[in-house]
Amino acid sequence: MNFWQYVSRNYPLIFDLIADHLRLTALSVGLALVIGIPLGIFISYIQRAKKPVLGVANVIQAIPSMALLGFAIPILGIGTVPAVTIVILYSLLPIIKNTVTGITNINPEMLEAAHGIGLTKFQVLRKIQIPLALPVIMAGVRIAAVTSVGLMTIAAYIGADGLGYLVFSGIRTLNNNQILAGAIPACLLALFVDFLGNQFEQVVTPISLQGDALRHREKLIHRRNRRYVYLATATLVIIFIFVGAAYF
Amino acid sequence: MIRFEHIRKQYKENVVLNDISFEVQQGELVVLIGESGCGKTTTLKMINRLITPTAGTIFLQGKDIAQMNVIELRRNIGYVIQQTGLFPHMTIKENIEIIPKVSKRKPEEIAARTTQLMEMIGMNPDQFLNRYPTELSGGQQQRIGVARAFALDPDVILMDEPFSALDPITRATLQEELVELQTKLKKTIVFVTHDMGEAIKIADRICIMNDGKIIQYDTPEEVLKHPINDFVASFVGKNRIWSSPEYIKVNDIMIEDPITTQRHATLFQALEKMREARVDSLLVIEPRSRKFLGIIKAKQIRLETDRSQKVELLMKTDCISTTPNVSIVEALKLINEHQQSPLPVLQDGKVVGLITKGSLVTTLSTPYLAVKGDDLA
Repeated sequence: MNFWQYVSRNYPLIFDLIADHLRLTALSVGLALVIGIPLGIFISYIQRAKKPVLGVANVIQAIPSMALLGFAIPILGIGTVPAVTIVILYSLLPIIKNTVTGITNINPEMLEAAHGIGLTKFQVLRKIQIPLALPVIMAGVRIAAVTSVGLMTIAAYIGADGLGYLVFSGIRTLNNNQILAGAIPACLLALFVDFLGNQFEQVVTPISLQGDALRHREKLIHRRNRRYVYLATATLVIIFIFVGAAYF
Repeated sequence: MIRFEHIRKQYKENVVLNDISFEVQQGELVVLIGESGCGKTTTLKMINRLITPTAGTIFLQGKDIAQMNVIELRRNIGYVIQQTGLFPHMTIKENIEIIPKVSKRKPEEIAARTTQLMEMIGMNPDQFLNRYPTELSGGQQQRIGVARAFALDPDVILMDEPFSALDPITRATLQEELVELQTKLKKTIVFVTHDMGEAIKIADRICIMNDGKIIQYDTPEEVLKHPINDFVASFVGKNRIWSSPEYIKVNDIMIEDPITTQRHATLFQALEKMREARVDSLLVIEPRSRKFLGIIKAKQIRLETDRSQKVELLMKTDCISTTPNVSIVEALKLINEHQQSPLPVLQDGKVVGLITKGSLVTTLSTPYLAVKGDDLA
C-alpha cells in the first residue's frame, strides 16, 4: 500500500485531525495573546515587574518541550487541557518580549510630545504606543504561532488531538505512510501559519513606515487589500473549524 | 498671563533651576535663551507640567497650575517641538485633529477648523491632508506642528526649538511667518532657542538664562544695547547690534551739543564760528528755549558779499527734522530722500542733537573698524 492509497482511504480522519490541530493551535495562540500582550504592556510600565516576568518566561522556554509535557501530566493529567496549557506557556516568551520591545523602543521625545499636547496615558497607549509597536508585537506572535504548530504535534504524545496522533501511532506500528500522513500536513500547516503571520505583520505596519511608501503608495494599498482578503478567509476557516467542532 | 514665582528644580544634588521668578504678559512672545543645560527647556516644560518644580509656584491667568487638571491644562496650551513631534503612523489630518477628536468636538467643527488651520500655515488642504509626515519636507512638517498647536485655539503656545533642525532659508521663512501669525492672533508664546539671531528676530522680550538663573529679562533692544553683564554681552555677541540696525536709535548716535547760533548774529560771526568748530553748517536757535529756527550753511554765506546781514535773512527754515526715538535706518532714509544734511534732532520743537551724513557713516562703519582692530591686536 503506498502513501496515496493510505491517504485516499483515511482522508476523513486526516482532515479531522488537521481541523483539530488548527483549532487547538488557534486556541493556544489566542489565549497566549490575551495573556501575553497585556502582561507585556504591564511590565513595560512597571519596571520592577519586568525582570521576574521575563525571567520566568525565559526559564519556561529553556525547558525541553518533552520534559515540560512530562511535568504537566501529574498536575493536569493527559488530554487536551495539559497540551493547550503547555503550548500557551511556550508561546508566552516571544509575545511578551516583543511587546515590551515594541512599546519601550518608541522615541521618548515623541511620547513626551504626545503627553504634552494633552493625551491621557491611556490615549497615548492606544493611539501612539500600540499602533507603533504592533508590527514588532505581531512578529512575536508569528514566531509563537509557528512554534505552536510544531509543539501541538508533539503534544499528541500526552493525548492531545492533532496530526501528532498519526505520527506517533505510525511510529509505533512502523507504518511509514501513516507517519507521512501526519508529518506532511503538519509541515504545510506550519508554512501556512507563517504565511498568515506575515500577512498580519504587514497589515498592521503603518503604510507610512513601510520601505518605499513614498513611491509605491498605490501598489502598497492594493497589496494591503489583498492581504485583508487572505486574513478574512483564514479567519472564516478557523471560525468554521471551531463551529464544526462544536456540532460534530 | 504666566507667572513664575521662586521656581526651583533639583535632581538630587544637581540644581537645574535656582529661584526663578518672571512673568510673561498676555499676547507677548517671550524667548528663553541660553546655552544647553541652562534650564531653558526645563522652564518651558514646567508650564505644561511635563516637569514638576521642586519648589515654587507657576500661575496661569492667576491660577496655580499645580491645582489644575493636567490634561485640561495641556489641551489649553499649544505645544510645538523639534521634528519628532508628529506621529509617523498618522496622516497630517489625523495629526492635526487628534486633540480636537479626543476632546469630543463635533466632526463638522473639526473639519472646518482643520481647513482653516491649513490655510493659516499656507498649505493646500487637498494636497496635504491625506499624506504622512514622512512624505513632507522638514519645513512642511514643522508648519503642521504649528497648526496642531493652534488646533483648539489655545491662548498660550509653547515652542521648544521648533526651527533649529531646519536649513537657514526655511528657518528664516518660518520665523517671519511666526511673527506675522503672532501679530495677527496675539497669542502668548514662550519660545526656547539657543540662537540669538532667532531670538532678536521674533521676540517681544528675551529671557537670557545661565546655570539655572535668569541673567537678563528685557526687550531685544535693551539686551542689545545694554547687556547687563559680560556674560550677556558675550552671548549677544559684540557686533550683533549691527545686524539689527533698526534697534539703533538716533538718540544713540546723535551729536548731543551741536554748534548753534542765533538769528540776530551776522553772517560774518556765523562763518567765524564754523571755521573755529570746523563744521560747514550751524543750527539757528532761540537762545534760551533752544527752539529750532533753521539751518545756515557755509556755502550760502560764501556766495554773499554783504556779510553784515543777519543770519535770519539767509537761513533755510523749511528743514526736515527727526526725533531721538527714530531708528537710524529711518534717519538715513530721511537724509537720502530730502538730500538734507545735517538733520536736526528735535524734541517738542527744541534742539536736542544733530545727525550728519558724516556721523552716520562713522556709526555704520564701526563694526568693520572694530573687527579690523581686533585682528591687529
